[in-house]
Amino acid sequence: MTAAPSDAAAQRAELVRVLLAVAMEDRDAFQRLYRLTSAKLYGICLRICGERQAAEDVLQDVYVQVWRRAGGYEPGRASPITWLATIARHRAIDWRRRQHATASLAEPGSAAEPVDPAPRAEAALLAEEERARIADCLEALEPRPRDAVRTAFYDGVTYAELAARDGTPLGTMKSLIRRALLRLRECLSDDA
Amino acid sequence: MTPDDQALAAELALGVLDGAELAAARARLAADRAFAAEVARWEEWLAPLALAFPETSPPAGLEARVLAAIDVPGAAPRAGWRRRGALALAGLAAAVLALVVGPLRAPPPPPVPAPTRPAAAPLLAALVVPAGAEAPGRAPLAAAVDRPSGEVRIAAATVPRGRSAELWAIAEGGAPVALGLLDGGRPTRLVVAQAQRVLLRAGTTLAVSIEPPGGSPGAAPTGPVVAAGALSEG
Repeated sequence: MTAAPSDAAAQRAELVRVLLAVAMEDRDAFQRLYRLTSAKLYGICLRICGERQAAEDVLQDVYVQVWRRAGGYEPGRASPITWLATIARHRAIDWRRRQHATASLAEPGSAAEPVDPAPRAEAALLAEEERARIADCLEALEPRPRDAVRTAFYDGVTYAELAARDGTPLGTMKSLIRRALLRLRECLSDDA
Repeated sequence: MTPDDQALAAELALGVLDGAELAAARARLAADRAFAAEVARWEEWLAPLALAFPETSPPAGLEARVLAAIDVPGAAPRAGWRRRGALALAGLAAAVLALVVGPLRAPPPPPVPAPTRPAAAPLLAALVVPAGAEAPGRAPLAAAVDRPSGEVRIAAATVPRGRSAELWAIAEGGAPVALGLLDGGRPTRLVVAQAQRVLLRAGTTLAVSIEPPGGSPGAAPTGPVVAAGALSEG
């Protein structure tokens, strides 16, 4: 346990350095960034897109965005991997939204060819205390809202899809999730 | 920030909105700093869940595709000093060119004889907006120092109309020393005078202040410091 935090700190420092170099349009640093982070980001794209071809296209788009936007990365604000993961997740979600726009009658639950049907979000993979906090706060929710928030996050689905999957009226699903989010917020901002 | 605002920020970060609601939330994100900060807070809270997704190596060929994609014109809309630098210095010796074009990493085996002098490790700094100095248009700036040439390169800064942005070096325990003015709106390269290059070392703070046109009339910054950060080994 003593090694993990310093490893995490060293990795974070290394990623910050690499990202700053990418912000200076250092192509070698960009390649290094890709090698350090692509498995992580591809995992995110794959989980949300649910198919390999789309995940590859989205991942490429993510790195182009990173190349363009690295100058906007603020080391003091977010950890580099958080910043990258957020870009990857939203790009993947955007892809899903576009899919839905073109195939407006997508069957509920059809999006995920189950690449990893058992999300290991709460499995101990990261030593970051924030991870424990979100996991603990989710755990503290009632089962139904908890599952809804998890599904929304893991599958990148909209309120409309959530409601359809669950056979719940849209308005009910919305207020269920909203209440859960506000409760989560209380828990997350505790001693923050 | 009302509970409704907080919930909306969370919904945006979670990714459950679509259609008109999504468009409205994004518009608000662009226009409302408090709302944007709330969304950022949620992104930070939620990101660990995404980071716990199983890692999967992408197919081997994707790396080449990605590297090719950033070479497409338009992939990097910022005026890149690497490209401008490469053009401007095309006639100079290979060793100098290598320092300008690829100063941050050892270059790949070149078709011409390798430079005889290895590039010293660059110094890097993240210049962040000091607490209390946050304002629209102020953003963190990345800076890199190439020690052999004494060149400091800084990412594009927003400079208020009719003002100048001045770069300072502050050695640990020392007084600010003016290094030069930044080009507003695009990356800047400054070659630091020989006598001041001793300042370009790890631990020295680089700071950018907003000054009257032409820079501070005195020996120290007169305007607000809008970005500052310490140099460290790259």
